[in-house]
Order: sequence, then structure tokens, then C-alpha cells
Amino acid sequence: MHQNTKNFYELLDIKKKISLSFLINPVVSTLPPNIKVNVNEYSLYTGIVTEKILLKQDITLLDSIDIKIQLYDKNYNISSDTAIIIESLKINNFEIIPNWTQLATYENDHNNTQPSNYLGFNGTWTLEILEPFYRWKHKITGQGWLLEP
Amino acid sequence: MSLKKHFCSSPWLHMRIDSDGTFYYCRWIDRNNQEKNETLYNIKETTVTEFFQKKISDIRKKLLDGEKIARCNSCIKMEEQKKVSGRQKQLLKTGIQLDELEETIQSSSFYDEFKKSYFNSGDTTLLPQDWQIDLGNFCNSACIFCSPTFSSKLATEHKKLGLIQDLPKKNWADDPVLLENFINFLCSSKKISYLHFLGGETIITPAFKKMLKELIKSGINKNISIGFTTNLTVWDQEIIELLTQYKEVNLGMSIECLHPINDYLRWPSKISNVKIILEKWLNIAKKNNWLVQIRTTPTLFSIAHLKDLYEYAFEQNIGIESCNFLENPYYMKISMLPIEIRNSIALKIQDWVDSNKKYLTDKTIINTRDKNNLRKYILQDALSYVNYLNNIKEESQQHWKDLVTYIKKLESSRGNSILNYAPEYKELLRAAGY
Repeated sequence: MHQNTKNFYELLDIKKKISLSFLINPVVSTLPPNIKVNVNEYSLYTGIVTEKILLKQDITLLDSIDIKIQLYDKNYNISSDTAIIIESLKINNFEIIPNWTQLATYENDHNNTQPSNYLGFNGTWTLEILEPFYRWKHKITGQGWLLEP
Repeated sequence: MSLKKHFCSSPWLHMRIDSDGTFYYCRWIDRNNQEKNETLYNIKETTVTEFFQKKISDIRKKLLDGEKIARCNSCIKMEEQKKVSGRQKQLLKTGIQLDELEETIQSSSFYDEFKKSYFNSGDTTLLPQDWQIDLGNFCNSACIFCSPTFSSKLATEHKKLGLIQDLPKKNWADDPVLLENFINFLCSSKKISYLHFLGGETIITPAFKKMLKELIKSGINKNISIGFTTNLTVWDQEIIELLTQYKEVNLGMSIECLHPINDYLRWPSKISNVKIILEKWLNIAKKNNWLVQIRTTPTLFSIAHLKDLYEYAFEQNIGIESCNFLENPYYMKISMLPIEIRNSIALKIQDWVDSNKKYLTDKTIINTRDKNNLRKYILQDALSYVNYLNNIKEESQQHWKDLVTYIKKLESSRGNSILNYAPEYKELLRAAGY
């Protein structure tokens, strides 16, 4: 990453983005999984997944982040093992999955709310970051005091 | 010019008042590298608000311009040896990290304040929320590497031995009017988060107890973290009771090593008594969930024992920190030692680090107060000394002569001898006239 800014004046002109990347692996039983992947207002994927997919999205540096991954239309009678595994979720190369899986929520039709990167039920996996990413990262990684002016 | 090399957020959040009342913009400031045309300001004639918001605007402007500041030399040296610097710690308090500087500055909640200062010649409307308060030099110890500015006992001895003409300036905190005004300022500040007290010896300095009491009276104690350093020779139960009423306590305990040479270095303390008081503090700290750090100032006489101190801290799972690499007195710098001795000490530290390598991490730990990473940080700090020992240039032989002149004078009044504590230095000392 470009990190040799000479002075604050130069920094004022730099519009930094945050890069999100997902690696999603389908577990195909009789039928493949149907999924939707959304980041904020962006729809990154909708439909059937038959092989591993890598999704990427850039957002503005200070935006809050709302990631939703939904498994839908799974037929438990015909294809009980259909699922997806979120193998990796990185934000600016910081690994959220697998390292911080416990920070996501998982709501599904089996009321199994155990945080997981294995989505085997119809439902939505959500990771919400309600403040600028780097302030959130500071807090979850135990960087100590974060003073406010 | 480089923001990454030189930018620091400290002058937007932090201030230091020195023992004579001089204001500084940083606790890590290099006292020997005064800026050209720098004016010093003192609590006796300048208010905190005036100093912080207007008098250090040029410093803020230079930092925003990515310029090197001579006073920041200590931090530059620390970073060169991969020791976590004061700059890195202060940046972290505003959410900024050097490895992702641009992103973290722009994400910092101080970003708009930096911007305002940039377009207003460095001025700010903020007030300090993180303080180092040097209460004066009232001290019952006369450590040989200390100076009269920080030890009244050493000041008296230096005067008696003719090493100084005059005693240091009066401590600002001994003036009841200045002290009351300062306390009133703190009590009226809305965002004070951390007060770090230094002496002399804090525990026996009346202003320390008075400030603790007054801040409790004002009701702001529950929002404030208190840090202080004690020399492990005195105990005051009332101070402990006062400290328990604060949000958080960071306890610094000064000790050079667990070897008897600590008695020579931190004269007239006795290591056997120091260890008893150390245990008492550790128990109190554990009971109250205080953060504990050993504070050490490695010199050429104690560096050979530093590994044992790291080991002790590592086993106890408590922090250990030396504020910077010793520069003064210049004749006690570690760089005085011949390269072969330094390499051999570095090797011992390296071997010990290697024996605990499962705790090593690639990621630099900057938050030295993270209780979950204390052992990792201890190893990281130990490695910075390995770097320093192996990389620094050897000092002039004249410095050894200056050292011998100094310790001989002290020993004439103290009735002790370095050779009783460090016989391995005999040849080096004799060659310099000991």
C-alpha cells in the first residue's frame, strides 16, 4: 500500500478505500446452495454456487459496514447437507474469518445462533461494523485507550 | 519530509509539566536537543491553555508538515532499534498505527482536529487529556545515574562534593498557589483521562497526596486513570486507599536489577528491602486489578543483569519498561562498553528470548499495557536491547575517565566501591584511573 505521504497536505487529497474480499465454498449435496451476498447497498452475488467463489468490494474508508450472507431455498428433505462455508473474509487484509467469527451473528430457521462460518440453514449471517473500520479494529484487537478529542 | 517518520499526535492530547514548572509538549522529549529559537514556558507565567493551544502551534505545524523535530530524537532512536517509541504509543491513543498510517490517520477521531490545526497555523482549541506531572525532586534515593533535578538527596550530595554550584530551581508543586491553580485547572477540565506522576519519590511528595485527595473531592476520580512511579523504598497506606478510588491505576516500580549492584546504583536502597516492598505492591495490585510495570533505566553497570529482570517480569507476568535508551549521564551509557562485552550480553538475552520463542510474534505490540500480551511485549523489548547492544557505536575512552571521576567522588561520600558489586569491570575501571 502507498504509505510515503510527505505531509498532511498530501493526505488531504488521498481518498482511501477499504477492500473487502470473501472466499465462499459451497457444500453441494443433492442440490447446490442458493446465496445472496450484500455489503451495505452493494449486491455482490445472488444465485446458485457450484464452486468456490471469490468476491470483492471496495467501500469508502469511513463507512460503517453491514455484511449479510444469506442461504435461501434450501430443501432440507431433498438436500439436507447443502451449505456454504465462509472460508475467508478479509477487510484490508485483516482476517475477520476465521479469526473473529464470534463477532458475527447468524439467524436461521433452526434457531441455531451459534456463531459460525458454516451456514447450513436457511437464514442470514451478519457482520455489522457500526463505526469506521479502523476504530473497530483498534477495539477488537485490544489496542488500548482510544481517546476522543 | 515524511509523515510516517515524524508525525505524532501527542501535542493534540498530551502535556508535561517539569519539576521546575516548565511546560513541555511531550513526556519523551529529548532534553538535550532544544529547538533553535525555542522559548520555554513555565506555569509561573503562562497558563496551561495558552501554552497548549497557542505556544506549541509551530510544533504541531511541523509535525503536520512531516518535518523532523530535534526534541523527538529519543523516539527516533528507539524506533531505529525496533523499540516501541513514545510516538507510537501516543499515536495509538488516537487510533493511528504506522503500518497503515494514511488509513488510520483519516479514520482517527482526531482527524478533523489535525485538519483545523493545519489550516490555523498549528493552533488548536483542545486541552490536554493525558498528563505527565513531575512533582519535583523530593527524594530519599540518590541513584547514581539520576540528576539533581530529580533527586533532592543527590542534589545535596552534589553540592557538598562541589559537583554543582547551586541547588536546582524550586519545585513548582511546593508553591501552594501554583499547585492549587493547577488542581483547579484539572478539576475544571472535562476530558482528563490519564495523569502520570513522577518525582523525586512520588509517595513521599506532599503534592502527590494532595492532588489525589483534591481530585477525589471534585468527583472526577472515577473517570481518571492514575499512573505513578515509586522507588520501592517507602510505603504509605493512606495513598493506597486514595488510589483505590480511581478508575484505574498504572503502577511503575523502579528497579535496575535483582542483583546486589542495585544497592550501588539506587543508593542507599537495599535490594532485600526493595524485594519485600515489591511483593507488597504486587499483592495490592493483584487485589485491585492494577496494571504493574517494572521501570528500569539500564546503564553500563546494570545491562548485564537486564536478562534476569526480564525473566522475573516474564515469570510474574508483569510489564517491564525502560522509557528510552539512556543518554544521560553520557558516561553511563551502555555504548561505553567494549563491543565484545556488549555482544556477550546480547547473546545471553537472545538465548533467553529464543528459549521462549513460542511467545514471539511478528506483529509489533505497541499497547504495552495489554495484559494479554505482556509476555510477548517483554520478549519484543528484550530484542530491542539485543539490537541496541549489537548496533551502537562505542563511545570515547574519555567517557570512562569522566565516569571514574564521578563515581570516585560519590564513593568518597558514600563509603562504598563499585568493585565490591561489579569486580568484572575492574580492568576497564583501572585503565581509566580508578
